[in-house]
Amino acid sequence: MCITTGFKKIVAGALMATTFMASAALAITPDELREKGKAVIGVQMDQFPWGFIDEAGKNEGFDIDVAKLIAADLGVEPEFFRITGQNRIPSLTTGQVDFLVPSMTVTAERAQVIQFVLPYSSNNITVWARTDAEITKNEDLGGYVIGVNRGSAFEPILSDAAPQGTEIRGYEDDATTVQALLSGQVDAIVGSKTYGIVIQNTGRGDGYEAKYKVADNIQAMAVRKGDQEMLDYLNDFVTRHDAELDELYLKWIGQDRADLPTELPGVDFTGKAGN
Amino acid sequence: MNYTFDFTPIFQAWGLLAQGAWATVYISAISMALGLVFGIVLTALRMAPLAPLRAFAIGYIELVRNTPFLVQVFFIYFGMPELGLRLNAMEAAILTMTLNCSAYIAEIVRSGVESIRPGQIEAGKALGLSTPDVYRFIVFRPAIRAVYPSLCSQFVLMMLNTSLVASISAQELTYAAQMIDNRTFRSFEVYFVLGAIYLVLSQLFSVGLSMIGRVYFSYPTK
Repeated sequence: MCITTGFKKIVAGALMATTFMASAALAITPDELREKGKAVIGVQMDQFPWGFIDEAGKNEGFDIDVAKLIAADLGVEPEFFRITGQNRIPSLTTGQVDFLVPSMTVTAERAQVIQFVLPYSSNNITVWARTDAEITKNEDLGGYVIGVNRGSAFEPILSDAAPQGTEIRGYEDDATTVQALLSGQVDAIVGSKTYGIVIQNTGRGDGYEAKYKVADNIQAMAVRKGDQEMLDYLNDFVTRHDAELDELYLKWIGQDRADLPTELPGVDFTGKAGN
Repeated sequence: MNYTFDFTPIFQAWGLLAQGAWATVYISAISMALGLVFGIVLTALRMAPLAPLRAFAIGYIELVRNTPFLVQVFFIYFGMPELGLRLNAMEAAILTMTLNCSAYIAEIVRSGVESIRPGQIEAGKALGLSTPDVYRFIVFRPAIRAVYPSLCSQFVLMMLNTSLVASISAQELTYAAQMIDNRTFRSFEVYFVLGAIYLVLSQLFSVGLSMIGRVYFSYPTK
């Protein structure tokens, strides 16, 4: 009987904790981070060259350098938290990270759940396919099996762009999506322009090529809704460190950083509208 | 910030979830049937008088039971195309599930067979039963009956394991749920409902399997 009561208590406790976590104010400010001396930053660890683990087991990539730059600017130690396409929004909203440096596409749907900072990078959404596949426009996708990272913003974009009835296969992350193309499980994949660097690195670059650009892909960091001070700080950071961000983009992506919009339909970068 | 629970987007997508649940049942049922057949063949090999056959069965069972299921699924789906065997996600899922569960089933069935005392087989022969009949009525059926509860829990475990094949894009229940999550960002609600559906499915499997057991093993023992 004692066990049952104890168990019931645990269950009730767990439920309460869930509700509490879901509803509590998880707000943080730059000052609080300075006081703690560290910032938990959500970064990708499987997206070369944006965020990945190098041979020595260290975090590397464009986002990592950006995150380090922010930490140095704040005067705190960065602690990297692994995010994936599937968990990045929950990891932010449930308070597991202080903010995200995620190379995440800005979309109006996501902007309803999290607060985007002003864009800091971009990355064309591109169709990659075997050289012999005849794909030059959206309508051509219908004749092929198309792979996509199903936790990404590419997936809804592909679903909209491809003709009705196109066979679309969703994979866990970017690495398995590229793997699906290389092992012939799909004819083409839709995703980042930088998949090309990954394909090239496998030594099989000759068999595949970029077919066409499906859409722009504007990427931004994100904080929790209501973390106004964090948002103001990061918006200021992105503006102040324009030159350094250009440099890092060129270093990792191998191209010049494009001009980035400061306004996008359905997205409020100031955190002030509708609150 | 206050989080308000909202299950409507999940229920709006019930068609996707139903399709996914059907695929999960489909993959599980086929792999169970094939796995049982291969498992019994493996048991026979494992207990065969010829040493190479025994060695093969032991090697296979150890290999399968000591490597993660996810690795096996990736190997078959992403690895085998390099050797010329390209299976689509559904085929790869069913093949891996079958290969995987046959090894576990073989071990379960073997313990059942070993519980049959040699005296019973001799008694069968003394009563004039033919060798196939001895194996059928005195070895196989009582052996399966003895281990039927373990077999059932293995089957349910296997059904739950199908959630892992979402990672090779097999469009089953977990895949459907992750799709909905990616569109709605309602992680709590999506995975809550997903868990509930799996719970219902396991209960249905348990009840179904125990009914089959009741019919097939309804003969008296004493």
